[in-house]
Amino acid sequence: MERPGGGLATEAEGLLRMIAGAAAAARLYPPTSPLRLEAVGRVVARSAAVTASHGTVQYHVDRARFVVAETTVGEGLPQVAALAETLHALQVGQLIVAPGVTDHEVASLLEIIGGDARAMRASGGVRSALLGADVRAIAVVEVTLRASTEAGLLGLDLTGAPLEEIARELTLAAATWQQDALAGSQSTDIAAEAIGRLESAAQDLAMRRCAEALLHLDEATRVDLLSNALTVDADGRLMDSVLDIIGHMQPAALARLLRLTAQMMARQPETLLREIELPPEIFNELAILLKPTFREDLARGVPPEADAEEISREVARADEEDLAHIGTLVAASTPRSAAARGLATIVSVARERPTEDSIRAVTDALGNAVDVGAFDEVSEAAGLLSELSSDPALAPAIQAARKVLGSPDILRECVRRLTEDPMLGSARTLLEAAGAAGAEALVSGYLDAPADRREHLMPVIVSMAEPVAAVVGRTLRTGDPALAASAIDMLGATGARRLLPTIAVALEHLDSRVRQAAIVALGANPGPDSAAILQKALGHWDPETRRLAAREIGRAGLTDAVPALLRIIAVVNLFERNYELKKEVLKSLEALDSPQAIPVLERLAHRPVAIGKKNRELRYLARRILETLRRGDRADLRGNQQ
Amino acid sequence: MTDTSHDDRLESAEEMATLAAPATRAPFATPKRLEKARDLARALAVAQNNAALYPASHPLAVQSVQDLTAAVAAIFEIGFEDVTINVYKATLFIENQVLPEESVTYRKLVVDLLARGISAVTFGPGFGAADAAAVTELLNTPDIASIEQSAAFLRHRGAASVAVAETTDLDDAVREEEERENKAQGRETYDRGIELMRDVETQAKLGRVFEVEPLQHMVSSLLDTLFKDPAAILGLTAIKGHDDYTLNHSINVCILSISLGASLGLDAESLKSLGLSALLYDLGKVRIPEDILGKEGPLTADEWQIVKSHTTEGADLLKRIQLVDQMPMVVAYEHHQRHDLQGYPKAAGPQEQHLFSKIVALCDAYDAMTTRRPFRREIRPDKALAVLMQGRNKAYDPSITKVLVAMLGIYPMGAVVTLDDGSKAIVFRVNKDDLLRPRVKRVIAADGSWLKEPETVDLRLVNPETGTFDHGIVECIPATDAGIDDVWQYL
Repeated sequence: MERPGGGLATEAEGLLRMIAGAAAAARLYPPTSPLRLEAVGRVVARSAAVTASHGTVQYHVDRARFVVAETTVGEGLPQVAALAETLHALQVGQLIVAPGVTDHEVASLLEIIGGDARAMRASGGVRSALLGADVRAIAVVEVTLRASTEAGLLGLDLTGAPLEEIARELTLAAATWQQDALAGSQSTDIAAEAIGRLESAAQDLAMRRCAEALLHLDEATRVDLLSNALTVDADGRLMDSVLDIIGHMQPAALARLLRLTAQMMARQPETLLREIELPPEIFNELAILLKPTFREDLARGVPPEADAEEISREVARADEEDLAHIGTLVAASTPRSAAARGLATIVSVARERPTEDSIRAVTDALGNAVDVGAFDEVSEAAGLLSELSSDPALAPAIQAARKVLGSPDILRECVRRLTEDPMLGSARTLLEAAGAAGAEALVSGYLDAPADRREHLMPVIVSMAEPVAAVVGRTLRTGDPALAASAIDMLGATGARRLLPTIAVALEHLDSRVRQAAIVALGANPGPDSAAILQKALGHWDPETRRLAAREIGRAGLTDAVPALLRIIAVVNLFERNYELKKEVLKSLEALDSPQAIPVLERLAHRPVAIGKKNRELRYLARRILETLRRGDRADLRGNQQ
Repeated sequence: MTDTSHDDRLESAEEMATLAAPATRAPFATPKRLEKARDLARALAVAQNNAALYPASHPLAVQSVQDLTAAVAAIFEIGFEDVTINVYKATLFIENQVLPEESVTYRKLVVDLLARGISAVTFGPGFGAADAAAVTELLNTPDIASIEQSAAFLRHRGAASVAVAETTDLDDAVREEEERENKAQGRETYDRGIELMRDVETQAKLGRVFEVEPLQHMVSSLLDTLFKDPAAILGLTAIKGHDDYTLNHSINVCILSISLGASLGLDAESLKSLGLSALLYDLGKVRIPEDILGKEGPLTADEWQIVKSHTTEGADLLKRIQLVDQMPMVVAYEHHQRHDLQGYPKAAGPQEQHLFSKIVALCDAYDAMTTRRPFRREIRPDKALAVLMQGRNKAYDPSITKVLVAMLGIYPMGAVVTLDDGSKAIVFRVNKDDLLRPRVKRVIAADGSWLKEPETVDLRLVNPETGTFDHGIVECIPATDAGIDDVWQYL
């Protein structure tokens, strides 16, 4: 778990462990020992890392532990506790580590704190010893809040004194500066002196504490303090120390202070900003913060004021309609929508950037989209592929994409969806785009579909007549007869003249079921072409096919075929056993109700001799039909037949 | 059997949904529901009063006990398994719903509860007339002065479906510790996210493929914390990195988006996808020249066309990860299309933006407006929300915009406000039941001096003497205008 104080505490503790380890090594080994030198080196390296991340680190020394940023560190670590005890015995209240620590400085620190505590205190203390050893990046604050017996700011330890006390003294110092300046005399920058007396490692820390202390003043006093510091003295100087201190404030707090002070001094905040020495990035940030905002907001369409209560009322008015709308949106954010949107998006991108990479991405997206039934989007993708197909550079990628589009699974799914929704244009487009493979899936899907759903597929079968005919032709040649018969039924049901040649081919099939289906299919599609085929079928080698052809001619009302029918009954061949065919022809002639048939029927009806029961039956049938034809009572005749 | 391999991270959608629901929705959000809460407070107060005035068999006493039972049942009917009346600093709450008027009107109820050491009364399943009678009797029995005595009284009366409790300082301490932990964990994830996004940006600029898995883990971590402590996550959006605007912005949009998605009721898988999309939606900008993106003045028509192409560029970049998740690509492409489809790229058909695109567009706009940029100042959160509300039906989906405002509050977490006593405070937690009255941390006194320790104030609390709110918000101000740089540390 991250403890309060965050990364600083953790890293500061790591550095402390290094220092404590080095202190232990210093006690155990002579100054030239490699182990001691290595320990020193580790402290230098770690302090460089920690100060690079967090700046100067300030440890408050407790009896057996340290405190960093109000977080206890090193508690329970024996070496660190020993270091704390050592420093405590030396009356060190704070240990400060600034950036730029050197081997020499660490070695000096270890030397100083490793000595006899009483002797060290008697000789002026750790602080003076460090100063004497020219240690700049490591400093200590001894346990006293007063840096000296002097009064005012100079008597305060700026690194440890209460912030309120520092703030009060800074205020007084700035006021004194202004009084002297206004009196025309040379002013004394007491704060600069107080900070300057500190070793360099502690100066930055002192400035930060002074900046923090300023925040504890009321705003009016803070503004006064700055304006006092901005008063020019007899030598033309400002109170630079205060300007340096406020330069250590957080940018927003500093910007506010500058704005308020400028207002009081009737100056522009930017002019005050130029008086302060700041790193460029902070200066730029402050410059932005000091920009006026009102006009800018208006220009961006931001209202001068937000009517919070009105917004609150609006939000509270969220009603059932809102809930229903959100419910719909949430329900629509399903994997299906993701796949569909994904494909639609990539198709849009590919349209703008028709690269091989984009087409590959389309290919990748197709699978998911089909899986979830996003046919509109898949169809859009198919359209894109067609548009780009003329680009030879994209040909391999497009071919790969089309392979996905032509996969049997996808096409089968398209057919299944069409049986459920015949208006699903996207699925139809996909089947059409797939050509022969689409027709294959279509024929197969048609045959598997429940009878009441088959008609949903008719429009697409008609639109794909050629490839469908090819598939059926193959089925006729190599497929199961039952399937072939069903396929012919399918062709017949389309009513498409373009498919008649395929149906005609079925008449030559060896299986009678297929031939029968073909005859029925022809009969179901009346017209000159089907009539011609049926007439031809009257001379089929199979008597049953001939009989069925005769029947279908009558049923379909193909009067063009009457002469062909008449030829069958006109021929009398004693050795030909075609009574059933002739009977069917007679029935069809009756149905066709053509006067052309009367002469031939008369000859048959008035044959004096009819040998055998079947011939007599034919003669009787001819007489009856003749009579009917003559009576012209066709309607009744048909009614009786039915 | 106990599952010994249980992982602390929440993974299953059910777990997440269970945890998310109470955390992201105000239980009495609609006027009808609120009325039921008020009815319950009224019924309890009336029952207490009638029990004090009349014998138990009196028709008025009987009626009021029945009314109390019915009021509890009415709350159960809207989906509660139990319901708790809380008293916090002399203010009445039903669950987390403050009842300011009732806090004053039923002052006697509040006083009598506190006198018995009770700060919470929970009505559980099976609550009936006997339980109701026991509670009213408890409130009228003078010699009970502690929570233990109160609980014993109810036990003795056989009231099994009603329980009393007190909120101890210990609870607060534990809760605060948990909140601290969640905040630290959230921050850690946030910082890791910045580094990950930096890497993604670098890889994308170099035209290399970047890894998605670490980003997905990061989103999962954010979701884990979101479901444990939504405020810890939402508060992270107060971090505004001015140097690494793009990186901070993408993480902020991610956090806002998953929080909004959770409020809308998206499941865990969808939230993960939404989070990833929100991290990457603006990735196309790596292909736009920086001098155009950072230009201070108005853009030329050509430059504007180039800037607008970042959506297609983003989708083009993100098509590489479509086998992992397609939504980042979709959101990158659609996030500027607007609700009315008048944005860019031009929509191919009348199909509206995907929900994720709508969410990300809103969160993008909100975070962008409330973040300072080198060429413009930030907009106050309340004004930014006003701008979004103005843009309803045009740029933004109206229903989702309302949910965003309800989630963030009129004064969102991290907003700096001036209170009616002149002091300045940072919104610390949004009260879902009263968006205008959040909990705040007062940091600057009226005279402009900074307080040593921030002071937490719940602006819903009512002054028992006057019946008015203790404090109110006068205005929202930009944090920097108040002199506050890092509001996150106060959340």
